[in-house]
Amino acid sequence: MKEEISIQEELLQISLAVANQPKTTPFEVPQGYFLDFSQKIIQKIDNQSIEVDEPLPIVLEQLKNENPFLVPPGYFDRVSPFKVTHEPKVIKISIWRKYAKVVVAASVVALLLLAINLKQDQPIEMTNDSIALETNDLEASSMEGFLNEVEIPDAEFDKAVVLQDAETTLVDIDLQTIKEKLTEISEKDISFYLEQAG
Amino acid sequence: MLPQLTDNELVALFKIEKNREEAFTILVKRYQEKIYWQIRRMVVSHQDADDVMQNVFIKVWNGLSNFREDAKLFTWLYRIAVNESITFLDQQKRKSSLSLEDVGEIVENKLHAEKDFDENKAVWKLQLAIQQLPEKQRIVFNLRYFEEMPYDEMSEVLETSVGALKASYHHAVKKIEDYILNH
Repeated sequence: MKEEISIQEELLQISLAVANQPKTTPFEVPQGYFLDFSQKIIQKIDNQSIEVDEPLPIVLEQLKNENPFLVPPGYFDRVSPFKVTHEPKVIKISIWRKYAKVVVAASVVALLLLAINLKQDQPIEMTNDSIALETNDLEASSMEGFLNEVEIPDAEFDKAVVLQDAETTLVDIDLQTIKEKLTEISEKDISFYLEQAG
Repeated sequence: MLPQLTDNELVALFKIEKNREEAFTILVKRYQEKIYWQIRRMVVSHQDADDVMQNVFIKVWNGLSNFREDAKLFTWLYRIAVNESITFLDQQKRKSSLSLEDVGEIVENKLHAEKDFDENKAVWKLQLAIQQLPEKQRIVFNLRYFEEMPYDEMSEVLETSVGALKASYHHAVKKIEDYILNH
């Protein structure tokens, strides 16, 4: 009761006009609505639980375990996910392919040196020793930067390996050897390599 | 005899499987009118209020088993009713692809469609004024003005501080006064 008085007092303090408004509701409710509502809601809840628990119709219940699809006889004996049915394909790598990265790296380095020499207007000395010397003078980071720009298409070897191989084997290969190796490669091998690389 | 049970006793009774429906029926009968009017003032039409009422009491049925006895049942019911009314109005808004500000417009149209609506009558004018309020102020005004709900209880229902509720109510009353005096 005290709260009710205070609510009215509070309203009077805020607005006399609103405090004087009738508190009756203008809305109408259908007759008997509140008499039937509890029954209606119980019925709705019952219907919902019936929908959840409702058994399947007999026809569907009978068909549930029947499978119309046929499998060839012995299919599951032959096919097993753990059974290897054929030997994995082994790809033989030719000697050329084995050293291809080294040759490509050496060629790239040689071209790089050639370009530097041309720029400096210095005579080109293409001896094995000079190539090896120049290669050793190059910083690994410079070579790596260059190789990053020039795509060498093979994911099997990363650039570090290529660089390392280049540093250790460059000395053993001279231009003559490269030429000889190039003439030894058949067109078939080249096209196979290009297919693999592409 | 059973209808004399306290709310906590009713909840305890509901938790026993065989007494569930009986306890729930008592609970519905005890609170249906208060909940209905709270909803009806929010959504206006009886049909909409009936839809929201059913949603509210289905939620009550589903959640009553987990109801904590230290909380007030009445407060919990009101909170569900308010939330379901807001959800319903949001759905109406989405269906009509109107902006948030236009929810009042939807409800106002429903007011105009009510039987015996007469905007010159004070009771209808007050309803029109209430529909101009922002949602939160409308809820606070209805709970305070019509339901005469104490602020501390309202604070539990709306999970808002008493100070903020007092401020909301004050603003709401001022806006309604302004509407009544200028229309």
